[in-house]
Amino acid sequence: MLDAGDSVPRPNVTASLYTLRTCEDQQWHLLLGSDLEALRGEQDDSPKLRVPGLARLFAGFSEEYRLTSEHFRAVGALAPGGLSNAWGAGVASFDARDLGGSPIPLSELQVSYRHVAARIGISGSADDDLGEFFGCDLPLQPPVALDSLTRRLYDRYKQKPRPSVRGEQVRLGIARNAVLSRPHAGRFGCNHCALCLYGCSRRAIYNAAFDLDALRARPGFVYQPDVFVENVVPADTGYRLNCRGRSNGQRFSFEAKRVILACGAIGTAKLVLQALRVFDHPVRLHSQPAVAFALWFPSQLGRATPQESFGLAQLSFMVEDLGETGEYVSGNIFSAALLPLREFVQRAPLSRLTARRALRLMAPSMLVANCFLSGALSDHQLTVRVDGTVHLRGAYRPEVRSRLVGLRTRLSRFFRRCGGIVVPGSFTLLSPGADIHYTGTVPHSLSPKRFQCHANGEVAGLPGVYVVDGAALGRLPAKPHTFTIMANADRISRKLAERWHAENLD
Amino acid sequence: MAEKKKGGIAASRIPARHMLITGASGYIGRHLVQHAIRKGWRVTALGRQPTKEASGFLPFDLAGWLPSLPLDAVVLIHLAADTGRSHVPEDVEIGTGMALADAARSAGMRIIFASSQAARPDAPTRYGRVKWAIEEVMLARGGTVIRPGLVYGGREVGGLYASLVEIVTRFPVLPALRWPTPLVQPVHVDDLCEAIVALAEGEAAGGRSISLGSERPVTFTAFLRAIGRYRVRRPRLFIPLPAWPIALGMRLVGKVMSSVEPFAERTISLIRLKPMETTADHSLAGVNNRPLENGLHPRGSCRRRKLAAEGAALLSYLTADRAYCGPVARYVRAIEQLEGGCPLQLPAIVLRLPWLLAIIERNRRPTSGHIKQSLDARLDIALAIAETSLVYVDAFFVRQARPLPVAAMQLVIVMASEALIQAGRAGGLIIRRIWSEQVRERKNRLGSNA
Repeated sequence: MLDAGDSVPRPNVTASLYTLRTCEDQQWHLLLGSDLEALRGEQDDSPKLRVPGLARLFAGFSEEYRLTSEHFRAVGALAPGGLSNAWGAGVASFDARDLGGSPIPLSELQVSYRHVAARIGISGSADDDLGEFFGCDLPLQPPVALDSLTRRLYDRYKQKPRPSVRGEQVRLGIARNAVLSRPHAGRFGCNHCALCLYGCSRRAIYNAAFDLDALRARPGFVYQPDVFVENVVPADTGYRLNCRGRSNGQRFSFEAKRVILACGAIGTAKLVLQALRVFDHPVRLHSQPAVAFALWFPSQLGRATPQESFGLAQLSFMVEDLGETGEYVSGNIFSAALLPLREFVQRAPLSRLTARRALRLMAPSMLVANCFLSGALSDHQLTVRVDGTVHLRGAYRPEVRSRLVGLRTRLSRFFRRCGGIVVPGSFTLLSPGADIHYTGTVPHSLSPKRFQCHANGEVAGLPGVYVVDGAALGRLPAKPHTFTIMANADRISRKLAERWHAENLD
Repeated sequence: MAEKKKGGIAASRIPARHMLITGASGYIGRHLVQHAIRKGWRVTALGRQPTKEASGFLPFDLAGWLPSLPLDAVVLIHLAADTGRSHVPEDVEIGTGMALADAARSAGMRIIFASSQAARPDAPTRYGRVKWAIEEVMLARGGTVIRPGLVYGGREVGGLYASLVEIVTRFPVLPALRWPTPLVQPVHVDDLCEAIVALAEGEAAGGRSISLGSERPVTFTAFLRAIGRYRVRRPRLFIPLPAWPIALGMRLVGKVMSSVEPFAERTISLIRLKPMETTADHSLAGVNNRPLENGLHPRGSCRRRKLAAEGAALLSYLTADRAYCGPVARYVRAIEQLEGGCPLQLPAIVLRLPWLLAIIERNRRPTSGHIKQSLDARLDIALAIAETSLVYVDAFFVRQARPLPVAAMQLVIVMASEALIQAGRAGGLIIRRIWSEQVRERKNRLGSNA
């Protein structure tokens, strides 16, 4: 296995975020960074991109892939575990509607969902209004406990009569996360320290690097870190992977009969298109148009800042029949109380002093939410150039804005019935690519053409090269997609292992 | 080797960079030695006693003792002068200067002579007359003459500046000399040394005189007041007094008390100083003249002090609490790392009344791209620092729950204050316009060395 990164240092903080903020004089090292990492870079990004401990995770991605972009915020990670070092851990299974015309057999995928869930540990509820939406028949731990404000919202929702078909058609349920609520495989359950953004010292949040540790213990598995694969070219024995050591710049190569690519939608696309010598030809890249907004519950004003909380999604929602295509959107709800207050102060149309004073009072009675639309509404393009650069052009389809108007109205009405207010001015469409859910650049196809792949991941025109990451997902519904990427990779890998084992026996 | 332009002087090759300095133990000399060493020169001090900063020493005396000059030296800087303590006869000091110039020329060295703004053939002081005479000798032999104005700043070891700082420190009431008003053209000792080394490194403007000092003269009283404000940091009262009667009176007293005579001579010299045109010469030397308020700071720049004051104001405004050292220090460091370290030059009234920032700030959403230098960007930086400082935790957290009516009333009061702030912003626009004009004027007047 060739891995571009080395490990990302994680802070070993065992106290809770509340204790850190109220007792630790040197808290700024963790929260701002000893080199002020939180104050560098784009200030309109997601807060997790400004976590000081993750600065190394995101550094160098654009430079290594020689990315240029136009209206697209490209984010990636060259580190063991990749973006799972900083993900939101939301998991959801795709159903037949989600797969649409994809050649991925649903039955095989469902088997893999179970395998993956058993390995990584997921928590949530199968019995609520989103149980079927997230997928049934999966080994689930009990959900991570909701904090009091989120619990109140959920209880209000359950008390209200279900919206009619002609109503808002919003369903609310417990979030399903790759986060342990109980010990599993040497990892510990969540203790509500609220340090999720800064690194989970209990390993409760799944990180693909955990599996790497297990793989490295297996005989026959060779792991080469700090290696950046610059290109894959056909050779007599199969393929030659031309590589460069990232820290020493040394160039070397590997030869292999078979190559499995899992570099992400952008990285894998670059290698495939270069190998096929497809230059200056734009390919489609999907991502989910995303919005963020704040919710305030006036009746809860006066609450104190909670001493315990959970920093990832606590509740999720789904809105059906958005627009004429029958598509849905889904989103997540998070606690706002322990988020940096400046994230709100900087966006409030008030003087900073007033905003700080007001939001200090309001934050314990606020929640924040995001909402993702279908990737079909994105119109991004990726182009590999002859000189080796990769250009990304981002765009949303024109109907996105009109969909959002209707969505905002429906969500506002829904949450008002649950006692909350969508804070005026907070409903914000993120810039293209800011969702960091990239797929579809080398998609599965029943009859794959150039730069597409078969159902088993083999790239058309590159026999022996397989794609097992998000590049292979040709459809991106408004649902967390990482679990499906993992299951698809599991599905493909099992089939390949069976076939190769049979070939060896022959 | 390709020629490299620097400040209008073509830099030639710098082979063995060996510099000789007379007067290396004096006020300017000590600073020059350190500056030259930092620039990679090997320095030999010529004087009565060795200095610990210079790597070499040769005995030299203005009374006529001249050593054999080392052949590998490329430049000789002549700073030594009799300021009244050695009682070297005028003609002897001038002769020594001439011998130095001849020796340097024979050895193929360039020579740079540190003269004075007071140098004139009819100078009222021995110092001014001797400087002028040696200038003539140096110029005739192709040397470079530097005429600095009133040299100040740095470590106060000897020199007129040290005396003035001591006087301003000791006396709360000082004379403001007028009728006529003496004018001075201060030059910071580090700027002077930088110019001297630049001239030494280039093909020195041989055979010409270079004047260094502030472009616009300042009154001597203003200079003393600046020492009080920026260096000693105590207010001082200035009583207007007629200059000529004071000087002549001191001269009469000096005939009886010899210790007063040098002050009398200096006062008369000060009154009769002629202004110098310095702009072109500063450009030639490639050196900017820093503002007095920067130069009088012990570090030579009050940039960090201004940043600290700025940070204190911003933190105090955002938290409605006083400023604490830790967060202020982190603010200074953040601005130095992220914004280039230039203070915003906030109006003094805003530094004293930070709540005025509510009127002049313009809150806007963070824009994509790097944070640009602006009040709003710095407020965001200060906000992040405040929020991650333990001392300000209660400005961001609510530790005790309170009843809904109480919390609602508090929120109403907060929002009502915002209404007043919004109303006050109309006036704030005027303040902001004035501030922008002040900054622009200051930049035009003093250059970009903020």
